[in-house]
Amino acid sequence: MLEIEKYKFAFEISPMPLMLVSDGGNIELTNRHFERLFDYDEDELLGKNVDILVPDAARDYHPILRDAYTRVPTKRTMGANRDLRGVTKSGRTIPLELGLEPMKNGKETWALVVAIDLSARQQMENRMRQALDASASAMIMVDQDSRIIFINETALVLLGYEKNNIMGQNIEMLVPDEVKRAHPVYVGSFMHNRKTRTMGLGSDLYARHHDGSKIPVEIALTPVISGTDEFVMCTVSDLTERVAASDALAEKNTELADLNVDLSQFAYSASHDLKAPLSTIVGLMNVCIEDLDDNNLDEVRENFARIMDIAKRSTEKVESVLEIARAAGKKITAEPVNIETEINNIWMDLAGAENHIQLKLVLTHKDPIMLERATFGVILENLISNAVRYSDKDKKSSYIKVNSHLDDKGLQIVVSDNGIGIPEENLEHVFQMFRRLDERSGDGLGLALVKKQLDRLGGSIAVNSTVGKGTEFTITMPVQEDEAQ
Amino acid sequence: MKIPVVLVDDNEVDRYVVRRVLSKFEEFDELKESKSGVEFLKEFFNGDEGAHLDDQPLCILMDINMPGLSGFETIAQMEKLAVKGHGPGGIVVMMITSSANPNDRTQAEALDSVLGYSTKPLDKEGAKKIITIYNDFLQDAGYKPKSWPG
Repeated sequence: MLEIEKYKFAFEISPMPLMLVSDGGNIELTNRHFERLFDYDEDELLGKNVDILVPDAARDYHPILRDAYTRVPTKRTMGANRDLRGVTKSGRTIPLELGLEPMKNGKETWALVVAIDLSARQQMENRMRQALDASASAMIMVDQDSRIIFINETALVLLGYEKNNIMGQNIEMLVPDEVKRAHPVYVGSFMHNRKTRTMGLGSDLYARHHDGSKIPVEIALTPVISGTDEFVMCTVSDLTERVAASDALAEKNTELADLNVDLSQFAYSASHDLKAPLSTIVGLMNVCIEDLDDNNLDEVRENFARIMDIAKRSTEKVESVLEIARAAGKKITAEPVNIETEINNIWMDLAGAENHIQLKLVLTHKDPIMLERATFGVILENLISNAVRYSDKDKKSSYIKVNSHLDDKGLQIVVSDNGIGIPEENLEHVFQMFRRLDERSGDGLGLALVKKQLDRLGGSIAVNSTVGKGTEFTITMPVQEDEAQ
Repeated sequence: MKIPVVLVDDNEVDRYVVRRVLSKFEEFDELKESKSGVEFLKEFFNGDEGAHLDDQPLCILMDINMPGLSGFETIAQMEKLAVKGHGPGGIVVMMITSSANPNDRTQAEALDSVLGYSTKPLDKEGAKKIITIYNDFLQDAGYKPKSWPG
């Protein structure tokens, strides 16, 4: 018979909660720390079965486990790495870690139980977890075998997993397919040379989302050593927004580069088109000087008329260029415009000498529309005068048709003709400044101005054409909300 | 023997100026004029129309900026037609342009058939240069000036 009295003194001076249990589960001895841990009065537990300290959920099979222990008694720990709980007198459960020490008592094997209260540690762990969950960075900790032993909330959201679907899984499940083969090699080399570093070394790095998509990430690896265990904390930053921003930036850069090319081409075209008339005038002046020397005054008079005509046209051209340049920043007040009247006025100005062409108006609405009157005039005048200029003289009858349609997207106008049409290879150039694609071309500014104005209004223009059949320009422009009277 | 000369330029007044300038020089035959590249190719490189000029290479003054075919596009088509045996036996091409684009000059220098480049307006000095280049070409059929006058 074990001499319990012999142990009493040792129990009383121990700083740890202690309990002695017989192999039948009878509580033979406890100390004050143990009683306090389970909220019992002094000596209240003596003679009771140890199962009263086991929570309901485990109470049924606890005797079986206890029985098994007495058959193969070993010094061991209970509860480490799993959720072990005890229940107090009042029914409160407390997290525990238990140390079991077998003690021979005659033929029986009793157990000396050391209880460690984990409440404080779990509170600390909870606090730590809450802190890590609050982190904006996704954090994943893996053990030596690349198993996930910790993952914070941010990482779960980023990767699309539920916590219980990912804990204990191999980290490889988060590695994109194309890197899967090589990944264990990288892990091996990191484990050999453990130091904090960034993963990927400047190359594009992706994490695999639960749905299989790839997320651009940056990953920092930090070795964590706890006793003999070696873990790796992976801090994952989501680069989706950064990548999107840098993609947008690259796109803007390309646009700007294109714009620069456009601009230098524009500078050459503009300087040529503005310089050419001056060269012509100089040439004519040289001729005039000769004619003056020869007293050929009639010729001089004729050339002076030519010079004045060229100068006048150049002035108009400069004004057109300025108008295009100003179009970008212009703000004109909208007013009620009756587009039928407007188009008829344009037609009267243009078609005086072109009475063989028929103008057909198909307007699906009659009420005035809130528009910038001058801008609308410039656009329609250019489109209609082009249709007149490129009419097909070989056809029996020529027509220009203007269809208009008003809906919640705005005003749509289609100007079509049965003229000579535009060759396909020229279609993409028709809106370029100074681009004269044909002997009949004007100064190469009309459609450029139309497009600039429509861009400014937030509208659009498109062209469709078949050589020999005709051309169709479709414009759309937003209409101001204010209802016209 | 006078120099047979054709001007390809869409601008009527510029053609008038060249006509007036060249008329002061006895070296030139009466100026022929084409209003576009297409018209020029039709008239001079559409068969053996140029054959009567075989005794003298044809001097071609070519504008660059023209609607439709540009001067360069016209020359490219002309060279193709010449290889097939169309057009006059010999040609001396000179660009006459008001272009401000340095690329135009570089592009012209790269073309074998182009022997000169002058800026508008053509004046007496320009006309004299044309005569010099033309005569040098006559003396040496493989003539290509190392650096271009004008």
